[in-house]
Amino acid sequence: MTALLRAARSVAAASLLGFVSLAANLPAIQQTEGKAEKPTRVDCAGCHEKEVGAFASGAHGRAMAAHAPDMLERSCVDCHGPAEAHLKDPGKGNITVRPDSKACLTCHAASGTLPLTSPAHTRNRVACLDCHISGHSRATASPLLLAPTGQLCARCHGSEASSFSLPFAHREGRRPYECSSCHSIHGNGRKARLSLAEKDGVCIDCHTETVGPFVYSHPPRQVSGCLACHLPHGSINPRLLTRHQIRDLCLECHAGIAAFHDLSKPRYRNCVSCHVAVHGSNRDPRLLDE
Amino acid sequence: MARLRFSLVLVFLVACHVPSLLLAQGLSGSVGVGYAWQHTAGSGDSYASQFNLSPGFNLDELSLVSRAQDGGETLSLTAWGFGGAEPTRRAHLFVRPADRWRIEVDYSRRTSFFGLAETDLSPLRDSWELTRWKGKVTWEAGSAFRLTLAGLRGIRRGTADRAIFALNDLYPLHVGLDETMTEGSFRAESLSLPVHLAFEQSFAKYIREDRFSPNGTDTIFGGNPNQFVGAKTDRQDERKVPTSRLSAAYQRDRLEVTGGFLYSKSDLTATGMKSTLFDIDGGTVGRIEFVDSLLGSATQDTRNGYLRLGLGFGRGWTLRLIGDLRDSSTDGSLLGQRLFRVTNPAGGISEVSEPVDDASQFDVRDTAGRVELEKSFERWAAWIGGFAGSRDVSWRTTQDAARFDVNRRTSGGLAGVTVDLPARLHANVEFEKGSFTKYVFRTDPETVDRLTGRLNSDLGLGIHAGVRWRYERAENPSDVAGLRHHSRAFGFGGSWDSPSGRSNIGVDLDLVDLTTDTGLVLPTGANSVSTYDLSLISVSARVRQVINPVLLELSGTRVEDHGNTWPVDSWNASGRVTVSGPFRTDYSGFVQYYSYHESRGGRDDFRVTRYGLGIRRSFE
Repeated sequence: MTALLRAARSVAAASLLGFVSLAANLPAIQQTEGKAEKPTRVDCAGCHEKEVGAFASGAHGRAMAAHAPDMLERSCVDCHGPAEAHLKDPGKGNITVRPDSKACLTCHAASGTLPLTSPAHTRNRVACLDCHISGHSRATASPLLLAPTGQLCARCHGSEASSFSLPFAHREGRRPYECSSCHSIHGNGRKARLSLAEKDGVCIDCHTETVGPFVYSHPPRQVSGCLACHLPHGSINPRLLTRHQIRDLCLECHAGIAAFHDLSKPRYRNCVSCHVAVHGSNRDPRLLDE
Repeated sequence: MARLRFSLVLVFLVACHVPSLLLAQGLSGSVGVGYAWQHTAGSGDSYASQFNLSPGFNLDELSLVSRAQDGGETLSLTAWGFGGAEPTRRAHLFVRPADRWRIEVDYSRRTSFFGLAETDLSPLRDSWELTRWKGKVTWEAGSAFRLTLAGLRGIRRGTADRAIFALNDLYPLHVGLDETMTEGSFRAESLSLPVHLAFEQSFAKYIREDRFSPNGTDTIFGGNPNQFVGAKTDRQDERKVPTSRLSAAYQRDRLEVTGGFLYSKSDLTATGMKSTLFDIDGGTVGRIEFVDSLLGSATQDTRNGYLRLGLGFGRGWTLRLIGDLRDSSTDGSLLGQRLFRVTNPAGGISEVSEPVDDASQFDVRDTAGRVELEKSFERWAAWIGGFAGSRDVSWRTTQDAARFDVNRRTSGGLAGVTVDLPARLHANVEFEKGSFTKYVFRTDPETVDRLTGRLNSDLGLGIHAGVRWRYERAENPSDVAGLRHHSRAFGFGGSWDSPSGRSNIGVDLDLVDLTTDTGLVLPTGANSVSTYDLSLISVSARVRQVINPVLLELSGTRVEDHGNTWPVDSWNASGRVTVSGPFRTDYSGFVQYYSYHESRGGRDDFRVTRYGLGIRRSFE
């Protein structure tokens, strides 16, 4: 295992060095590539003055201009496809009116959400522009979204959205948590790192006290993650548990409890009254002390 | 009353004068403030456990934007929830000091309360605040790469009422919560290379320094003459978690590869002593003190990775290969001593000391693989696939305990079809069937038979409708897990948006029937075998109507559980009327209603009515 670890570290270091080296030489490479003879937005503005103007002054256009001025000039054909035939014979048949996700991914090749490797959204014909604005109109929510994430996701994930209306739910007062508070839709950043680090690791972003290592782990937490006992969006049960009474949940695994646990007596009905360190303990293997 | 008048005057002044001040600074945006009254009938603790809303002043909305000459945002500030009426307050600041620089600061403070009478038969209550600061600085090197430095600071403070088990009984314990989390991270990612690469390195530190005191001297359930008279601790638990993550993505027309690898080595150090003091028979017999002085440590090595490969063969054929690996190994140890000290009424002391030298070990290794073959046509696609996985778990709770080893193997297959039907209908059906050889925990029979379907339609004229259903079945015989699980879910959602944008109506319906026969015989249960039975109906409706200059918004959700386990019903409804006035100012009034009712209990039932006023002003 030590050898595996050493190899992984070497790969990580080599990749980082390679990435820095390539990135340093990239501007020169790109300048060469950028000289392709493509129609510019000036050519398109002849007919589509309003759309071209709205895009250039919008958030997407400004981001392109800040990134590389040449990018904005080529933006019409980069998204809507080759326009030579369209310029000669304007019509909807020889231009891509609504760009597909591949056009977006040319620049936004973020790890994780690619059409071939992310089947669920692709199969259901969910494309980038189903959630994001193209840049010709004004975004309702950040980042360049057609609507707040809760509304967007609820269009397909209605059951999950209505879970937030259950008596016990992940909400802030009346407001349900934003889906993107936990779901890393594009696989980037801290949430993706937490998800990869732990089973249901994104929960520990707020519930840090439940994460190990512990001297004495509670095995289901360690193996199956939070969802072994909790429902993440909302529940009819307190503490978002999968069972109403805590004892019913505990007894599913701990069927062979010691005989003195007389469940007909109130003091034995709530397991966590005594076994307080239900996620793990640093001082007691029976989880009686934190 | 004087405080209320003062608040209302303050609200009015803020709403009227802040925009003028901000306009003078060249900022645009909006500010909305309000005041709410609240009437609570029934259990206030139960209501706070669910919603935690309070009467008082509230910042409903603050949005400020400053733009550069090219129209780009150079500064934006959004905030809501300040004032005390809502349990969460948040603020987000974005600054772009130069084209290639981005600075973001995020602040949140969340107040949480939990304390129910019916489910917690001892006085378990949590009341705490979680304050979090997050900061991020991003620098883009043109179109080449992006560097990000980020920091996080989280502080949880509050109180928790717990029980402590001693002298064969339960005593009430008051815990002062004190937890701090700090994290710093660095991220570098390529933006234009053929292979999108990202590398992250983070370091997190978590410290817990909870403090204890008796929350009463008598036992929780009575009947014990011994009294709990003292508790103290200087314990500190500290975790250090450095994490490295590398991810890569490559995309071409017919080939996509994404992968990632993470390595983390977490270290725990638990130090300090804890002492609890009891008077035997009210002190007439003497006094007992339990003192433990322990040093705990644990190290966890985590190596996780994934690989996704998508290969297009042309003519609509796609092959997907997915592989995941999770490997975690934890070693723990506990050293020190436990001391038992008895003082008799005459002052004589006798001590018994028990040395502690224990070790634990926990290893888990999950592997999962999945292969799918898909054929796409212009209006439909079909796919078929299979999956297999393993879970190897090995642990030993204590040095003397027997080692527990389980090697679980899972396998299964799936098939599905998605079709674009006439009349803008889109249908999707998928069936998955799986099995497993052993279980690790009875709560995790992950592999079940599952049928899911979805039908969505954009009917035109602003009408959207969709239905969804799911059926799950896990019949695990007693030689496997002894658990039978059935679940049926049906959902419908429909909405209409008028072409003018003045009207919107929506309705959502969810039905869930869930039965789990746990195979357990409970002495208190009416059934010979414990069954969790849920039969849930959730109906939500919303209406939005503009009749200039009035905007009317109504929404409500009714939840009913008719299951045998613990039937409940609840309401969550609200209405708001907003009137647009001069100077881009809106005036609103709202009513909210919340109820919760347990058919077999009642001690946690509540009915709460909130109503209030708000004022919002926008400026450009």
